[in-house]
Amino acid sequence: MIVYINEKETKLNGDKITIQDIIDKGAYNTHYFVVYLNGEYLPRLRHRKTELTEGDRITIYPLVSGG
Amino acid sequence: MSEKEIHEILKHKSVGIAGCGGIGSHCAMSLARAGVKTFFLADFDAIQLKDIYRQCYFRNQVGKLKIHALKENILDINPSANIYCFDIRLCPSDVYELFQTADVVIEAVDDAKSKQTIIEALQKDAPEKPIISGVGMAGWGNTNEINVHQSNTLYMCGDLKSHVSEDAPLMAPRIGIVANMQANIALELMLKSS
Repeated sequence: MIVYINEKETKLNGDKITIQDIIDKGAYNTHYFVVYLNGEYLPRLRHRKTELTEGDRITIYPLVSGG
Repeated sequence: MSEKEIHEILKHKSVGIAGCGGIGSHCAMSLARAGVKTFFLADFDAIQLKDIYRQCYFRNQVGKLKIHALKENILDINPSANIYCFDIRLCPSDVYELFQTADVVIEAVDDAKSKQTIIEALQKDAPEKPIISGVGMAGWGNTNEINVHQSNTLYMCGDLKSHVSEDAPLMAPRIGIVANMQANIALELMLKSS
């Protein structure tokens, strides 16, 4: 399955791959994220439940400290 | 658009600022200088001497609540500004209530979890309201990595990766860059929607 993660075409092997799986594989230096799926905001409680489908566009913003 | 016309529009606009530390204080000052008249300021913290080196406060304000000191500083620029102060640590249910009448919201809190809370609360309860967030500004240099990313009504300013650490503390120049990017986007949105 081909999806687009932060605009980058990405081939995923397997099925039932969730948003949380993508985040976990991302090796980010934070536990906090804002995620959009196909342009719509995806609440964090849905990261584990939402399975990706062909052509999905995922935007992941890691949130780091500082302000 | 003339400066007079810009001031006339911004006189009727309002900005919510969640967090009045480095980002929030610098952003508020820029917006006040640009002519924004109404501010909703939320923060629970008091100014410490160490804050002076990166936040828009002064030695004679040490010990004051940041919301009150920032109000003073905004009023020094525009004595007729309307400033509503909330001495509060924001939780999801407060976010919408405090900022529901603001035209744009500046997310300027320090910790990543609170950033997520504020963004999520607004995206769920007021998805049409622009939220301009500062993410990734610790350290110095790497100016060209600081950027703006947009998804719907969320604007993310920063490099999205530089978190605060012993080796990369928060420093005034990068904070100022990100804060003014946020202010610039806020202005753009408010002037566009007039």
